Amino acid sequence: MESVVFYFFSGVSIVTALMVVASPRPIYAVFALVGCFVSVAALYGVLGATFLAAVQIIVYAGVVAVVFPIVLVLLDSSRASSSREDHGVLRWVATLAGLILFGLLATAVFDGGVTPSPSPIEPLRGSIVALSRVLLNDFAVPFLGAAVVVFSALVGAAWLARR
Amino acid sequence: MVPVQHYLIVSALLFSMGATGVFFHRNLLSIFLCVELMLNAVNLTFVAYSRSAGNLEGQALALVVIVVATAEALVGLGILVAVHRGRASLDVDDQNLLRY
Repeated sequence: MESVVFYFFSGVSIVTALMVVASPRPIYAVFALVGCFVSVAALYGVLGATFLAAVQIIVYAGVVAVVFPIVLVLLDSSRASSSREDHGVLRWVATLAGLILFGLLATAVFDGGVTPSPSPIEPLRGSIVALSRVLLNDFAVPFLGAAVVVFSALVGAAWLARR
Repeated sequence: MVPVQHYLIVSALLFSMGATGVFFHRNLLSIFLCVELMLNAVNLTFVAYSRSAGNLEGQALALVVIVVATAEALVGLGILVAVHRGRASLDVDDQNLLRY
């Protein structure tokens, strides 16, 4: 059951990621990216990270689904979809570079000495109770730092978009 | 049970597809979407390793990454709107104020 869900959603995420990369118009890429985020959230659920799956859908896919179309509406659509996207040679070189990168990463995955999972995590471990225990003890400083980052990003975005 | 290597392969595939998009897109918005894709792939790696190692620190780190990536999306889109207002083009080849 787990493997069926995993292979289905990893296939969906790869296909939608391909659509994000290959689609010439940004609005199609935005909606494909939302699909990719939702399927990655399903992969989090398969991994037992249920709270992270919810956060991924609410925060991440929500941001992309709401903010990016708003920006696309704000922009002039004739200029937002660039006219100079048709570099034939550059596209093939970039694809080759991406394949080389994937080859390196796959080599690292299979030769890097990843220890197989010692024991499956019980379902509670991915719940918010256990996660918040880690987040507020060992990760208190990064957690608060993320809050500072979000606040300064809000101020910075408001400053950038003023007038 | 799916071995952790399969998750890592999916993550590597997503990451390298995002990198490919960053390489060949000329439009700022498309590059931005591909960067989001790469961040997402890294999060998947964190969660997969978290399960492989049997502790929750990877999930906590992935949560922090999600928060920072959301802030990055906000600031990046603000910059994008400002660039569009000032330079009237979103092509990265036209953005040369910091080049020299």
